[in-house]
Amino acid sequence: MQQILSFFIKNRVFFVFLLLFLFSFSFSVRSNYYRQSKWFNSANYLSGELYASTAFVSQYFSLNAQNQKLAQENQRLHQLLLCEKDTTRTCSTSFFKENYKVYLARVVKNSVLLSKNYITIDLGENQGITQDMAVVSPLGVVGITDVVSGNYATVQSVLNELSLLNVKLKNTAHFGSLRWNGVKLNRLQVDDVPVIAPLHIGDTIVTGGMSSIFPKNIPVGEVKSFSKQNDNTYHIEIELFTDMSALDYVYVIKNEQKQEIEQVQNTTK
Amino acid sequence: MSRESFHIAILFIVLFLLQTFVFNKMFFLGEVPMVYLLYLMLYPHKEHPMVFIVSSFLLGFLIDIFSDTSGVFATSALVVSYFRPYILNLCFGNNIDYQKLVLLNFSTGNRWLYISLIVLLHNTIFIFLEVFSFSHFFTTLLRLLISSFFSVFVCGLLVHLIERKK
Repeated sequence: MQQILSFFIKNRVFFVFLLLFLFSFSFSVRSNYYRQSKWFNSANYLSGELYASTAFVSQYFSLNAQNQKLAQENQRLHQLLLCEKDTTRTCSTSFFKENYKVYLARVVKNSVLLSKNYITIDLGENQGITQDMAVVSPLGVVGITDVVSGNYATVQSVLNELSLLNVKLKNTAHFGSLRWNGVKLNRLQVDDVPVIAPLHIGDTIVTGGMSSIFPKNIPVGEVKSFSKQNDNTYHIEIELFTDMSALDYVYVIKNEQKQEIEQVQNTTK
Repeated sequence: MSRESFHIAILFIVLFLLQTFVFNKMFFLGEVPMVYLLYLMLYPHKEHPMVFIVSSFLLGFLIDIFSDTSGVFATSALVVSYFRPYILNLCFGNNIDYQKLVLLNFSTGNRWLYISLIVLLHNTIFIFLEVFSFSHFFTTLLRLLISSFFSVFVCGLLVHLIERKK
């Protein structure tokens, strides 16, 4: 007994190392599971406040670019309004109003360099944010809210290997799924688009609206190249409209009928 | 609290803030310099090894929480801190046990070797654990090379800045 004890004491550094190693290793391997706890992510109170105060300073340096983006968006929205007045086919803004609520948020922490990137925004439970809400920038999709604390929330970016999004070709409405292979910033992949779809370089990809998270027709990106797969589908490389490394203002979209949609879908299964 | 441990505590806090709020936003070809590794390089080797290992782990863990990397920083910092005595002996010989760890007192070649080995060990674990797949092996390898080069460069420069101040 004495010997066993002295063996442990003699090698205590190794055993502490082993213990901590197993702890942190399991932590990183089962990252999704642990991230859900309120403490171990950047949405917690301390890091949220710290990031918010540093973002407060750093945002001054990109005011010009931000203004330009917002002006571009205003232009696009203006065009939509005109189209409603002029044509008999009204834009579906009324539909939008009823079902979706839009919150304005600021990005306080952003990351694009890892293979699983998360963003932190300055809205949380107190402002009505919950898990699985769509996040878009003035130019296109950004991600889906993940962990929510009192005043902050993390967003699982589209630049995250775990993200999977339903998208479609804007012109033909053929569906596909959007993923990121983790290689290049702002360059994503769309799979499962059938080869019968007419496809050209420069085509616009928008959200498909098949999930209860993203509304239909939110811009995603532009086709850069594509190739045929063996199973008669296209593999498409797209460039995002949003520059994920320069985010500031984003919108969080809440689908008021999400629960109802999910309930119906679950009963059908 | 002795003067030495006070210095270590300051280093711990400053490197944590630098890594999360400054260097995590600095890209060089899409990679971030691992500045917090200076803590692992400069921690006096004659202090308690247990404190060293646990504090390195905590530093990594703190950065993990702030960068949403869930344990990747912590694991790599821990492994490096455990193997550091071997790296020290390899770079500076057995005599290191009787000397104070002041990197600028060693020859330039040995110093850069020491910094490179620590960075390389750290970044290998970090990147493969973070990507956690071998599907884009060569891209990952390229990432490893770029980030290591960048980290070694920045750490090597900062060593001068920190040790001169003392």
